[in-house]
Amino acid sequence: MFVAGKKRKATGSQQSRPRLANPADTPAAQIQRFYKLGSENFRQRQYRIALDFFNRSIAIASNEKQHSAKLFEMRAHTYLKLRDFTRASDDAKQAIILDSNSAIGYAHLVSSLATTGKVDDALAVVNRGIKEVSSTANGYRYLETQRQSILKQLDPSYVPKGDQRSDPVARLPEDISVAVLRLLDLPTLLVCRRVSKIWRQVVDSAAVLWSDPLVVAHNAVSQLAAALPAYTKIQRVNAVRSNGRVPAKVLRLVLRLAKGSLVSVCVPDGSLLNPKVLEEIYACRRPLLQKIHIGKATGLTTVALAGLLRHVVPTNLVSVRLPYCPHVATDTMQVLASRVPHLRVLDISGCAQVRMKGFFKAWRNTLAGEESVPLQELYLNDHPGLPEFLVYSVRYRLFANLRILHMAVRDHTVYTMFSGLGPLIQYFHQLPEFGTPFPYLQELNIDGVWDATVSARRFESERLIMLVL
Amino acid sequence: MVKLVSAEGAVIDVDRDIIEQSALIRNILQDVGDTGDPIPVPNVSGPILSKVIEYCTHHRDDLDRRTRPDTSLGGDADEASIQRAIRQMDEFDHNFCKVDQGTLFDIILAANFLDIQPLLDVASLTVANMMKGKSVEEIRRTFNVKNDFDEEEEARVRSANAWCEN
Repeated sequence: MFVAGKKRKATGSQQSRPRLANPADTPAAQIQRFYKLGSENFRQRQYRIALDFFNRSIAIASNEKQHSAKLFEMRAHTYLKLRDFTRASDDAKQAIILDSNSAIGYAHLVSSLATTGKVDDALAVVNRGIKEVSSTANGYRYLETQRQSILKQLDPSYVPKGDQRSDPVARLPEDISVAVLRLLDLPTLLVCRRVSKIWRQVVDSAAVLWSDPLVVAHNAVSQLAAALPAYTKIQRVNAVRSNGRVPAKVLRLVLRLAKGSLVSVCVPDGSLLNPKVLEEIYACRRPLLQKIHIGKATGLTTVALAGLLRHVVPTNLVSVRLPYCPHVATDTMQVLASRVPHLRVLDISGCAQVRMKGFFKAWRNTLAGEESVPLQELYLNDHPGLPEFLVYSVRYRLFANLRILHMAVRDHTVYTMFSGLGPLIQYFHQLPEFGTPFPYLQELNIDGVWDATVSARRFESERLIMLVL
Repeated sequence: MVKLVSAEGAVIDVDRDIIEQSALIRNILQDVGDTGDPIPVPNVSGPILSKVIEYCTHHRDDLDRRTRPDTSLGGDADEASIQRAIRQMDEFDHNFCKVDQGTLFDIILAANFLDIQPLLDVASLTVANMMKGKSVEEIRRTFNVKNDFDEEEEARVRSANAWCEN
C-alpha cells in the first residue's frame, strides 16, 4: 500500500525496532533481517533509514566474521544515493575485496569516481572490472555501459554536463530535493520534469509530490494522467477552487484515476451537483476512504450515499460532511448510523430534511449496550431542528462524547422554521440544573442562536475552551 | 562555550545556547555532557559553519521556532513546519539567503546534517521560490543545468505539458 510522507514511514520502522532486536535470533538471522529491512527502505527511497539498517547488519556481520559482499554493495549504493562518495567508494572497494566477482561493487566504485571528477581512475577501475568479473555476473552489462559513457567523457569533443554545484536536484540528497519540490505548485512541478533527466527521475518517482493534488486546471487532467503514472496514487481529492465549480468532467476523471487508493474526497462547494459524478465515486471500490466532504450537492441522495458506503470499510471512515445537501434526509441518517456507527465527525448543516426525532432514533438503534455514540464532532449549522436537538440531547444523553458542536445560524429564515425558541432559551437558562448533556464539550459555536436567545446565561462546563458567540 | 571543528580543522567557538538550535549538537551535548572537548563537524566547511552560526545567533531568542509544530490533532509535521517557516520568514532570513546557489545548497546540506529545521525550511523555501513560475529554459539558466534529453524525448514531454505552458 502506498504511504505518504517520509516521517510516517520513519516512525513506522522505529516503532517496530524492539521486536527486530530479538536476542534469541542467531546472528546470521539478524544480519539477514536487517539486510532485508534495509533493502526494503532502500526501495522506498528512505535512504537514511536504509543506511541505519545496513550499518547494523554490517556491525553484526563484522563481529561474527560473516562478511558478505552483498551488504557492502547495498551500503555503497545507499551512500551513492546520499551523495557521500568517499564512503561509497570505501564500501565498494570492500565489496570487491570480499568478492572479486562483484560487478556491482565495481559499478558503484566507478560511479562514485566518475561523479567526483576522477574520470581517469574510473576508466581504470571499469577496465579492471570488465577483465576480472565473469561475464555472467549480475551487473556485468552495466559495467560495459559505464565504460562507454566514460570513454565518451574522455573524448576531447565531449561537452561536460552543467556545473552540478549550482544544480539543486543533482547536488542535494534526494530526500531534500523532494522536500524542496513539495513546495512547488503543479504547473511548476511539470516544468521541472522537463529540465533534465535527473530532475525528471526525481520528480516522477517521488509519489509524495503527487499524492495531494489540487485540481488546478480543468482541461489538463487527462494529459497529466497520460504523462504521470504516479498520478494513480492520488489519495486525496481536494476540489476547492476560489472561483466557481470544478467541472464535473475533471472531477470524474481524477476520481477514476485515483482508483482504490483514495482516502479523502473533499468537494465542499457544490461541484458535485451532478449525480453522475457521484456514481463515479462509488463505482470504484474505495475501502480506504476516511473522509467524505461533499457540499451543496443536489445529486446526493440517500441511495447515492448508500451506494458509496457499500464498499467502505466502516472502521476506516471517520468523517462524513454533507453540508447543505438538500436531499440528505432522515433515512440518510439511518444508513449512516447502521453502516458507519463509529463515525467521529458528522456535518449535516442546513440539511433541513433531517428530522431530529428520526436522527436520534437512527443513532439510538446502533447503540449496543453503550451509553452514547462515539461521535465527537457534530455540525448542525443553519438547521431548523436545533431546539429539538437540544431537548432530545438532554433527555437521551446520546451525544455525550461530543468535543465540538456547531449550531450557528447565519441564514435567518431558519428562525422561522424553528418549532419554537422555548427549548433553546430554556436550555441556555437551565444549563447548570440540567447538567450539561455534553460533558466533554470543548468547542461550542452558537453564533446567531445567541440573537434568538438574548437572555441566555452562562455556559458552565470546565472543559469548554472555545465558545463562539 | 562549545568548540566546533569544521571540515578543514578550524576551531570555532560558539555559545552553547546558540548552537543548541542544532538538534545534532544538542543531542551530543546531552549524551556526553559538556566536556569542553571540541566537537567535529566534518561535513561542514568553515565559512558555511560561520553562516549557520550567524543564523542561529540572530534567532537565539526565537524559542517557538525550535519546537516541532504540534500535530496531535492531525496534519503533516513537515507541512506544518514549512507553513510556519513561510509565516515567520523575516527580512533577516531573506537577506541571509541572498547568496550564490552553491553556498545556499551548502547551507541546506549543513542545516540537514546539523538538524536545524527552521534553517532548512527557510533555505528550501528560497530554492523553491527560485523555481516557481519559471519556464524550463529559465530554470536551466538559473541553476546552470544542461539539457540532456534528446529531441524525441523533449518533444514527448513538451506535448504532455502543453496545457500549463504558453
